[in-house]
Amino acid sequence: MEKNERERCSIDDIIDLYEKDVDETLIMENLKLTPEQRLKKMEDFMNTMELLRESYLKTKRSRSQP
Amino acid sequence: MMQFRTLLEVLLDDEVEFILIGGVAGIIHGSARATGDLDVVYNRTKDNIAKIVSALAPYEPYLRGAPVGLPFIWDEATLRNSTNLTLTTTLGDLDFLAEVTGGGSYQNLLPLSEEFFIFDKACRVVNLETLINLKRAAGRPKDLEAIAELNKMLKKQS
Repeated sequence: MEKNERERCSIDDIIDLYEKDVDETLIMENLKLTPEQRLKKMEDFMNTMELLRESYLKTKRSRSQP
Repeated sequence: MMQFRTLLEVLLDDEVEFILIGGVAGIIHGSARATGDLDVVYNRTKDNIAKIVSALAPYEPYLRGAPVGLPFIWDEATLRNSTNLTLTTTLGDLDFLAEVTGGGSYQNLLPLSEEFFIFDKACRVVNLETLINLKRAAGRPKDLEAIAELNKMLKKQS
Protein backbone atom coordinates (compact mmCIF):
# COMPACT_ATOMS: atom_id res chain seq x y z
CA MET A 1 0.00 0.00 0.00
CA GLU A 2 1.36 3.47 -0.85
CA LYS A 3 2.15 5.89 1.93
CA ASN A 4 -0.51 8.35 0.81
CA GLU A 5 -3.16 5.58 0.78
CA ARG A 6 -2.28 4.54 4.33
CA GLU A 7 -3.97 6.14 7.29
CA ARG A 8 -1.52 8.58 8.84
CA CYS A 9 -0.28 7.87 12.32
CA SER A 10 2.06 9.53 14.81
CA ILE A 11 5.02 7.76 13.19
CA ASP A 12 4.39 9.77 10.00
CA ASP A 13 4.76 13.03 11.92
CA ILE A 14 8.18 11.88 13.16
CA ILE A 15 9.20 10.75 9.67
CA ASP A 16 8.11 14.15 8.28
CA LEU A 17 10.34 15.88 10.83
CA TYR A 18 13.32 13.75 9.78
CA GLU A 19 12.50 14.31 6.11
CA LYS A 20 13.18 18.03 6.47
CA ASP A 21 16.79 17.24 7.37
CA VAL A 22 17.52 14.73 4.62
CA ASP A 23 20.50 15.95 2.60
CA GLU A 24 19.19 15.70 -0.96
CA THR A 25 22.59 16.52 -2.44
CA LEU A 26 23.92 13.16 -1.17
CA ILE A 27 21.05 11.34 -2.87
CA MET A 28 21.57 13.28 -6.10
CA GLU A 29 25.29 12.41 -6.10
CA ASN A 30 24.51 8.73 -5.56
CA LEU A 31 21.96 8.73 -8.36
CA LYS A 32 24.70 9.81 -10.76
CA LEU A 33 26.51 6.53 -10.02
CA THR A 34 25.74 3.03 -11.27
CA PRO A 35 24.35 0.55 -8.69
CA GLU A 36 27.78 -1.13 -8.63
CA GLN A 37 29.53 2.18 -7.95
CA ARG A 38 27.03 2.94 -5.16
CA LEU A 39 27.91 -0.39 -3.53
CA LYS A 40 31.63 0.29 -3.86
CA LYS A 41 31.27 3.75 -2.34
CA MET A 42 29.43 2.34 0.68
CA GLU A 43 31.83 -0.58 1.04
CA ASP A 44 34.85 1.77 0.96
CA PHE A 45 33.22 4.01 3.56
CA MET A 46 32.41 1.12 5.90
CA ASN A 47 35.93 -0.31 5.60
CA THR A 48 37.49 3.09 6.30
CA MET A 49 35.32 3.37 9.43
CA GLU A 50 36.48 -0.07 10.52
CA LEU A 51 40.14 0.87 10.04
CA LEU A 52 39.62 4.04 12.06
CA ARG A 53 37.90 2.08 14.84
CA GLU A 54 40.73 -0.47 14.95
CA SER A 55 43.32 2.29 14.97
CA TYR A 56 41.52 4.05 17.84
CA LEU A 57 41.35 0.83 19.88
CA LYS A 58 45.03 0.10 19.23
CA THR A 59 46.04 3.59 20.35
CA LYS A 60 43.81 3.34 23.44
CA ARG A 61 45.36 -0.02 24.38
CA SER A 62 48.92 1.21 23.93
CA ARG A 63 48.22 4.29 26.09
CA SER A 64 46.73 2.23 28.89
CA GLN A 65 49.80 -0.03 29.09
CA PRO A 66 52.40 1.08 31.66
CA MET B 1 36.42 -6.08 6.11
CA MET B 2 33.05 -5.84 4.43
CA GLN B 3 33.01 -7.24 0.93
CA PHE B 4 29.37 -6.79 -0.05
CA ARG B 5 30.15 -6.73 -3.74
CA THR B 6 32.02 -10.03 -3.60
CA LEU B 7 29.25 -11.54 -1.47
CA LEU B 8 26.67 -10.45 -4.02
CA GLU B 9 28.84 -11.63 -6.89
CA VAL B 10 29.14 -15.08 -5.29
CA LEU B 11 25.36 -15.40 -4.98
CA LEU B 12 24.74 -14.07 -8.50
CA ASP B 13 27.43 -16.28 -10.06
CA ASP B 14 25.83 -19.37 -8.54
CA GLU B 15 22.38 -18.23 -9.75
CA VAL B 16 20.92 -18.19 -6.25
CA GLU B 17 17.32 -16.95 -6.28
CA PHE B 18 17.08 -14.10 -3.78
CA ILE B 19 15.71 -10.60 -3.36
CA LEU B 20 17.76 -7.87 -1.73
CA ILE B 21 16.04 -5.95 1.03
CA GLY B 22 17.32 -3.71 3.84
CA GLY B 23 20.09 -1.13 3.76
CA VAL B 24 21.94 -2.53 0.75
CA ALA B 25 18.70 -2.44 -1.26
CA GLY B 26 18.41 1.23 -0.23
CA ILE B 27 21.98 1.92 -1.37
CA ILE B 28 21.32 0.33 -4.76
CA HIS B 29 18.32 2.65 -5.09
CA GLY B 30 20.59 5.62 -4.25
CA SER B 31 20.44 5.95 -0.46
CA ALA B 32 23.42 7.57 1.27
CA ARG B 33 22.96 5.64 4.50
CA ALA B 34 25.58 3.11 5.55
CA THR B 35 24.70 -0.41 6.59
CA GLY B 36 26.54 -3.26 8.23
CA ASP B 37 24.98 -6.32 6.64
CA LEU B 38 23.41 -7.77 3.54
CA ASP B 39 19.74 -8.78 3.95
CA VAL B 40 18.21 -11.18 1.48
CA VAL B 41 14.93 -13.05 1.21
CA TYR B 42 15.61 -16.34 -0.55
CA ASN B 43 13.56 -18.87 -2.44
CA ARG B 44 13.18 -21.98 -0.30
CA THR B 45 13.14 -24.56 -3.07
CA LYS B 46 15.36 -27.62 -2.61
CA ASP B 47 17.48 -26.62 -5.59
CA ASN B 48 17.99 -23.06 -4.35
CA ILE B 49 18.88 -24.15 -0.83
CA ALA B 50 21.54 -26.43 -2.33
CA LYS B 51 22.92 -23.51 -4.38
CA ILE B 52 23.09 -21.23 -1.33
CA VAL B 53 24.90 -23.82 0.76
CA SER B 54 27.41 -24.52 -1.98
CA ALA B 55 27.97 -20.84 -2.83
CA LEU B 56 28.63 -19.73 0.75
CA ALA B 57 30.50 -22.78 2.08
CA PRO B 58 33.98 -21.42 1.17
CA TYR B 59 33.28 -18.28 3.23
CA GLU B 60 32.74 -20.08 6.56
CA PRO B 61 29.18 -19.08 7.45
CA TYR B 62 28.59 -19.08 11.21
CA LEU B 63 25.82 -17.83 13.47
CA ARG B 64 26.44 -14.15 14.13
CA GLY B 65 26.93 -13.32 17.79
CA ALA B 66 27.04 -16.97 18.83
CA PRO B 67 29.92 -18.24 20.98
CA VAL B 68 32.81 -19.76 19.08
CA GLY B 69 32.83 -23.55 18.97
CA LEU B 70 29.12 -24.30 18.71
CA PRO B 71 28.34 -27.42 16.66
CA PHE B 72 26.91 -25.33 13.82
CA ILE B 73 26.99 -27.14 10.51
CA TRP B 74 26.44 -25.19 7.32
CA ASP B 75 24.46 -27.62 5.21
CA GLU B 76 21.13 -27.98 3.44
CA ALA B 77 19.39 -29.43 6.50
CA THR B 78 20.40 -26.43 8.62
CA LEU B 79 19.09 -23.97 6.07
CA ARG B 80 15.93 -26.00 5.40
CA ASN B 81 15.12 -26.23 9.10
CA SER B 82 15.75 -22.55 9.81
CA THR B 83 13.51 -19.70 8.83
CA ASN B 84 15.75 -16.71 9.34
CA LEU B 85 19.50 -17.01 9.79
CA THR B 86 21.77 -14.15 10.81
CA LEU B 87 25.22 -15.14 9.65
CA THR B 88 28.74 -13.91 9.69
CA THR B 89 31.05 -14.91 6.82
CA THR B 90 34.61 -14.07 5.82
CA LEU B 91 33.07 -11.64 3.30
CA GLY B 92 30.82 -9.85 5.79
CA ASP B 93 27.57 -10.24 7.65
CA LEU B 94 24.58 -11.67 5.91
CA ASP B 95 20.94 -12.21 6.93
CA PHE B 96 19.24 -15.05 5.08
CA LEU B 97 15.48 -14.66 5.53
CA ALA B 98 12.77 -17.09 4.51
CA GLU B 99 10.17 -14.46 5.36
CA VAL B 100 10.23 -10.81 6.27
CA THR B 101 7.72 -8.91 8.41
CA GLY B 102 5.38 -6.92 6.21
CA GLY B 103 6.56 -8.56 3.00
CA GLY B 104 6.29 -12.32 3.39
CA SER B 105 8.24 -14.82 1.34
CA TYR B 106 10.34 -14.70 -1.82
CA GLN B 107 7.24 -15.49 -3.86
CA ASN B 108 5.29 -12.65 -2.19
CA LEU B 109 8.11 -10.17 -2.82
CA LEU B 110 8.89 -11.19 -6.39
CA PRO B 111 6.23 -8.96 -8.00
CA LEU B 112 7.33 -6.14 -5.70
CA SER B 113 10.95 -6.28 -6.82
CA GLU B 114 12.87 -4.95 -9.79
CA GLU B 115 16.01 -6.00 -11.61
CA PHE B 116 19.26 -4.08 -11.38
CA PHE B 117 22.26 -5.17 -13.41
CA ILE B 118 25.21 -5.72 -11.12
CA PHE B 119 28.36 -7.46 -12.40
CA ASP B 120 26.47 -7.91 -15.67
CA LYS B 121 23.93 -10.08 -13.94
CA ALA B 122 20.35 -9.36 -13.01
CA CYS B 123 19.96 -8.84 -9.27
CA ARG B 124 16.46 -8.60 -7.82
CA VAL B 125 15.96 -5.75 -5.37
CA VAL B 126 12.69 -4.79 -3.66
CA ASN B 127 11.24 -1.65 -5.14
CA LEU B 128 11.40 1.59 -3.20
CA GLU B 129 7.75 1.55 -2.09
CA THR B 130 8.12 -1.97 -0.73
CA LEU B 131 11.41 -1.15 0.98
CA ILE B 132 9.63 1.69 2.80
CA ASN B 133 6.75 -0.62 3.74
CA LEU B 134 9.16 -3.26 5.07
CA LYS B 135 11.00 -0.71 7.18
CA ARG B 136 7.69 0.59 8.53
CA ALA B 137 6.55 -2.95 9.32
CA ALA B 138 9.80 -3.66 11.18
CA GLY B 139 8.78 -0.92 13.61
CA ARG B 140 12.30 -0.07 14.70
CA PRO B 141 12.95 3.52 15.81
CA LYS B 142 16.36 3.45 14.05
CA ASP B 143 14.57 3.00 10.72
CA LEU B 144 12.58 6.22 10.93
CA GLU B 145 15.42 8.36 9.56
CA ALA B 146 16.00 5.81 6.80
CA ILE B 147 12.29 5.91 5.90
CA ALA B 148 12.45 9.71 5.70
CA GLU B 149 15.30 9.48 3.20
CA LEU B 150 13.57 6.75 1.17
CA ASN B 151 10.35 8.82 1.09
CA LYS B 152 12.32 11.72 -0.32
CA MET B 153 13.88 9.44 -2.95
CA LEU B 154 10.43 8.14 -3.88
CA LYS B 155 9.13 11.69 -4.33
CA LYS B 156 12.11 12.45 -6.60
CA GLN B 157 11.31 9.38 -8.71
CA SER B 158 7.65 10.32 -9.22
